[in-house]
Amino acid sequence: MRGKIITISSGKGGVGKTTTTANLGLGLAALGYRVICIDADIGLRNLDVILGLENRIVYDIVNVIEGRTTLRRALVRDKRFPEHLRLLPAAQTRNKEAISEEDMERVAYEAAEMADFVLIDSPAGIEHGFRYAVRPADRVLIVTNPEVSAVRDADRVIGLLEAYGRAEPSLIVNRIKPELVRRNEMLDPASIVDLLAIDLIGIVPEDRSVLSASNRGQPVVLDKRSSAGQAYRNISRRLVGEKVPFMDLRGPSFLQRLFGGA
Amino acid sequence: MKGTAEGLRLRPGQRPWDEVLQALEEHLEASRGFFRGGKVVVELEGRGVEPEALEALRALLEAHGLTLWAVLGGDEATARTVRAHGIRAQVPAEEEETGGAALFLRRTLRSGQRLQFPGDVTLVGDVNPGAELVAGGNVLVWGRVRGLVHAGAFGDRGAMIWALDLNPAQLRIADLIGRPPEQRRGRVRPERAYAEGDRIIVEAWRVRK
Ligand SMILES: Nc1ncnc2c1ncn2[C@@H]1O[C@H](COP(=O)(O)OP(=O)(O)OP(=O)(O)O)[C@@H](O)[C@H]1O
Ligand SMILES: [Mg+2]
Repeated sequence: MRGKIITISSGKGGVGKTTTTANLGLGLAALGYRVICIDADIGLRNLDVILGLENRIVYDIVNVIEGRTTLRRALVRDKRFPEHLRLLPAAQTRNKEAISEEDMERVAYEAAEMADFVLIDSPAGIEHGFRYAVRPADRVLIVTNPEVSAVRDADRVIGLLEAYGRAEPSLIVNRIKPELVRRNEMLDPASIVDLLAIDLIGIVPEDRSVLSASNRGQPVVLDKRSSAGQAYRNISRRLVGEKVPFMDLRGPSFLQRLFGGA
Repeated sequence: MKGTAEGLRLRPGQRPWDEVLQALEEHLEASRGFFRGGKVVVELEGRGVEPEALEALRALLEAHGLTLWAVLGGDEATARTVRAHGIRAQVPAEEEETGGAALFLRRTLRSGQRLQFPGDVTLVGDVNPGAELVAGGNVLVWGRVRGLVHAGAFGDRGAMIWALDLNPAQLRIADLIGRPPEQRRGRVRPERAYAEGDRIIVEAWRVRK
């Protein structure tokens, strides 16, 4: 059976698409699913770095599209879950025009024959790169931050997906600071969901370990003590259909409970 | 020049035609294609119109996607000229009073989406920040308004806006622009907006018994 293709998109840049793709890829692999991550951000390759796989790259997606190698040979195996997680890297020295929407569709469909999940890390923006990234998607996850501009861009992307006649996307609110939300200094997830009116699949707290984890190539989802890691583990389980309650970000004991292993 | 539900009504008064055409052109340029598909009725109110002016008017309107639908109110000779150009010089009463076209929509307008319609619009859904709803007639939003709503966009200051929750970035009625106060307090309640003098008034929308 063909695997499910999930594209991670946002509109606004820098909100955490690549972080999300890496963590959900590892999260699903850890649950025993076969996953292929596709870095669709041609020219700004970085999913490989966050996954800690940069030094294993031989071929990239453009090589596959140009027929210089096969998809199977271009895939880079993860060192932690070699049987479950593989990465199709972006080309670093090319630009987005090197691939068409049809190219991406072909590669993603082929990858879906070899995996349970194909995760596509979309480039920022709403132009060509965004369009080819969402083209083959069975499902789109929209990442946003609790900032007015990021939410507005998410809304724009949701509108575009509607116009393309796609299934309704799901929302991930990333970088929530419970302390600020409680003091009414930050948009709270509930009002973001209220405005965007789509299904919420995850709330990821701001967590300093995200950055250092990315720099080390060991995404936080692998870190049992990280609150963001817990959020990504929860989202991974929701993606495979489990009902996982949302972490309570309002209670004063939120962080304590998380560190207590909630 | 006055907006109707289906387009524009032009009353040139006694101004020379080249002046009328120039003013019209500026107006159409500024409207960025909004009038596209609309009908134009010219009311001569007794004055004449030369074939050259008529053709220039028609060409200008067509260049902006409008139809010169009728030229009314001239004397018999003018009416003949008008008809000779294939344009109505008289309109049966029932055709004039067709009323405005209306649009009913159930959806949310999201950021970057723009809905424009020459007549009245009823929207069941929200107008999100960054979205635009532009209507030649009145606008009723059964939902929240956070983006831009423009009623009476052809220039009809009598147009109104109603919404269950009116907290837009900007409201426009005809040529008037209104911004809501920076900080809004109190419970959300239905409101309506209309033009009074040169201002847009927003007030509670109550059902009177
Ligand atoms: N939950 C979080 N807590 C703390 N930092 C985070 C979190 N999520 C993301 N970041 C940081 O935000 C920055 C941007 O993240 P990332 O590269 O994943 O965004 P992106 O949406 O892929 O960006 P681009 O649009 O450039 O591709 C990174 O430095 C990352 O470490
Ligand atoms: Mg990225």
